[in-house]
Amino acid sequence: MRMKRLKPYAYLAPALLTALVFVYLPFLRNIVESLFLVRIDRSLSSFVGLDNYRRVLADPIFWQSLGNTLLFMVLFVPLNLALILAAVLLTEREGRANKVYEVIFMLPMAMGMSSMALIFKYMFRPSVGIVNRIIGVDIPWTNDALAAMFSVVFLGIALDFGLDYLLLLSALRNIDKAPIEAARLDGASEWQLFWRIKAPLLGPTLFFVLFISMKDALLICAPIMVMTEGGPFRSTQTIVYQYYIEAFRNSNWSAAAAVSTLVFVMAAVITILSMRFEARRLHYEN
Amino acid sequence: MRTRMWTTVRLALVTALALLVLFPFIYALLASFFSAGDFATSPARILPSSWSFRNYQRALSNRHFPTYMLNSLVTGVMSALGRMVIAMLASYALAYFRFAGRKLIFAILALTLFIPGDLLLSGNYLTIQKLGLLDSWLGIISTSLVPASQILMLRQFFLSIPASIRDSAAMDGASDRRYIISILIPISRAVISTLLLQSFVAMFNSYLWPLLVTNRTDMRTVQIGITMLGYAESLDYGPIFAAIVIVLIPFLAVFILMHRRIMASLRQGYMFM
Repeated sequence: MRMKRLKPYAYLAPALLTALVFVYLPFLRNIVESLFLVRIDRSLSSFVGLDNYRRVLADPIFWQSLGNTLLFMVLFVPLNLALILAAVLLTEREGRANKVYEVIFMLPMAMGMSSMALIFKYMFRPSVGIVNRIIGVDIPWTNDALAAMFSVVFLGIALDFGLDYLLLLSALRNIDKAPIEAARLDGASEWQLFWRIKAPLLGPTLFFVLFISMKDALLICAPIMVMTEGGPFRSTQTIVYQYYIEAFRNSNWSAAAAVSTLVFVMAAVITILSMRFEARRLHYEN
Repeated sequence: MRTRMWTTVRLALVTALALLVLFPFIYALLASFFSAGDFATSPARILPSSWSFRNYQRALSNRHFPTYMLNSLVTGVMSALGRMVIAMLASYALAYFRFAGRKLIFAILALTLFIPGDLLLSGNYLTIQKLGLLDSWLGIISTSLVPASQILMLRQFFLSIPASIRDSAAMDGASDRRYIISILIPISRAVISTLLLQSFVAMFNSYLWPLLVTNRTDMRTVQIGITMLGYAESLDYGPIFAAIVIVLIPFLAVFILMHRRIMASLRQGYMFM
């Protein structure tokens, strides 16, 4: 009998163990390290209160990285959403005609991040790159800060496109068709149909994709490591990249812990905001 | 008349967008045939100067490439299966048992979704280092075993299975193991295969963590290996693109073949979060 009562705990033990060891333990370690001086071998040396945070906040590179991240977000979020919405609305109707496009639009999911980043790296070379050749311009993608930022924004969109497309497409196809048909019979234009009926019904999923892409933008790092290595002159170095460099290049574990704790707070703010929106919507609907 | 024009415009727009999305794929394919000289031509070439498979031969005969592939396949399978077993057991307990602390445990597991993994790199590195798992398959898959999203979906799915099935199995004296293996897994086949594919793809294509916990060349996975194929100094990128295409093809095939199932699983709301 006692064995039987212990059973569910035994079944849950492996899941709890991985969660504790690989999420909660490093999370707490981060907070602790951010309050201590940490030696190169990761042992804690002395408690310094908020000194690490003060030092990080006084570092111009921190602010530059944060600024880069915000610029990335400001460019990425609307552009990403607009392109995905376009793809979703253009392939809204289920059927043979749209099947090929459905497959094409979800294909970016099949490509590994580092493969895609490498391809973009070579496509966006300045004088010998295919992008400049095709649009017939001579944009210095790797030498100009803003151009480089745009090139990593395009990479970010390519990486997220497949999944976001599928999420929004299924949301659009699952909304109630009756009001749309009724409005169409009453002579509403496609434009009116979208803004008056589809957009409000899609609202929750749109917000979901919006907040997910904000969080993705805040946390972007690895694709940029492969494509630009943060260059030129740190102009594409984001805040999580800065954390990575402090930790694994400089072995400055205290600074790394402080930076990552600050990013945790920012990610938490975005998450809480998204849940506030979700709650308000539910309230509104009831 | 107006609708026909809209149809044409729509078709033009959707085709343009599709070409844009496909462009990196097309470029990678074309560039995999480029000679070293083709990469340095200005203005850039669109088609290769000759269609030879030399780059493919060179990528495949690279002495590390088979090792990279092996490491990626093994860690992909280990991660997908390990994560699934852990998630199945936990979801089973959460769906079928009443016990003290159930809500708390569920919250502890679900909350992990809100903590971004890339910010845990330094802490997890320390753990893996202390466990002596650097440069090992176990070290590579370790952090991918946290099963929160899978538990959310499996638990939900298990709860949707009629209680009568579980009750009649219990009446026949079926043990937990028997119920899971001969009833639960067959019923959940579609969900399980989608989740397995998702975990496999995520592990196979991951980059930052496998890069951190491996130093030895023979422990590198293919997505890292590609970036280090070692021709870049000579501006001879052809074999890199050939390797990208070789790795990509099986994934393209799987995604195209699974298209219908992916769409169906999305309708039921249990995919790719």
